[in-house]
Amino acid sequence: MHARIDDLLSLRDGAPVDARVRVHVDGCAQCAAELARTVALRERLQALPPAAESGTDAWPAIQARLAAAPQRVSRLNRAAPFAAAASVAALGLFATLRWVDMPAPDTAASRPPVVPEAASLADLRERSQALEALLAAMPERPAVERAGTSVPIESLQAQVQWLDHQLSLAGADGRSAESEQLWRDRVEVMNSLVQLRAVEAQLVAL
Amino acid sequence: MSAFLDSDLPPDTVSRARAGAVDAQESIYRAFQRPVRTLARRLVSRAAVAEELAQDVFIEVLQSLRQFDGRGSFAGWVRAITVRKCLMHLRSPWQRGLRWVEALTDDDLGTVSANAEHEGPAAAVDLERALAQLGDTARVVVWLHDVEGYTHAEIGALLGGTASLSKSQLARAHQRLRELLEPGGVTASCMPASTTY
Repeated sequence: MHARIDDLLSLRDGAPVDARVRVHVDGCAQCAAELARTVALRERLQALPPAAESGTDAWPAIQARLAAAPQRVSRLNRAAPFAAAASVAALGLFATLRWVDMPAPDTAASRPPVVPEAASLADLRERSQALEALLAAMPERPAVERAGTSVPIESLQAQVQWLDHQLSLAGADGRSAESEQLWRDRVEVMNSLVQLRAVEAQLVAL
Repeated sequence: MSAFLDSDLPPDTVSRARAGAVDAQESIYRAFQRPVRTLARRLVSRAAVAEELAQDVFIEVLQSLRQFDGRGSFAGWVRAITVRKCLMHLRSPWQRGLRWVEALTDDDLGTVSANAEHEGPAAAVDLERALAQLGDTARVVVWLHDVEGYTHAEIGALLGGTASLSKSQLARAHQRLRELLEPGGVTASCMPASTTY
């Protein structure tokens, strides 16, 4: 049998491969030719010309955008008011429908306090983990979802995923200030998510 | 090789840009606009979207200059932001839905020549078209690994997976590129799905 393409790519890149693969490729003209093709393809990719100049200079547009946004506002922060509005709307809907049977508000778990500005990175992580635990303890989402809650819930879940990805990048680069802001954002989003999931669960129980 | 390696800036440009000097900010844009646009174009494949993402990259770069601590190369930092922006775009539900719709009517990617083993500019065009026809993940992996020099571990982490994911996607990308560029040639390949020695 001949070498697989992933073995050939490992050989090409100088990565560790099974010694038997190396011996086989050394003695097999067909595999040696395939190895040469993977090298040639990489060279062709590297030799591709840079993107052609676009017809217009983008610098004026970039300058205008910078001037229009003097302070950095993350995409998440722009979305946060909508998430909050969605939470409030869902809570209002629930309160209208279920006023009499509304259970007494739970402790800080169901309505976590606003994240204090002075919260440390460790505090933020703890809060985030506590909210994760709370979310995990909630009943599974209903098979039939309500648009009023499922859309904002999915949006918030996507934001959490995005934040986790950003945190993995920020962690790798050691950018602690950015990490802190990301953790702060994560706590806020998780807080909204927990509230909405609680509302969804209550609506299912109706 | 990565076009970012050729980018160079006078030593004080970043600190001046960070302090708000518009000419220094423009210097950063001029120095990196081509590698950023090229990388976005290769990862995203749609020219208009890539141009838009490239602008977004410069907005983020110039607004986040304070976060560049100078420990790595500035070019590497700009490249990391470009890659992150492109991956975020490719992951977005909107983008996924759009690609599905476009797949029904798309004809502006062109087709690879029947015999794409020729040399010169036509070969480059064919290779670009073949790249554009790869799946998003395979295209990202083959470009980041084979051209930008990312390791499999780095790519795996960027994709939210492991080095193995990157390796398998690289193999898939090479296989697919071969199919597109050398129609008929791959059937004689010595690369079966499994290997026994």
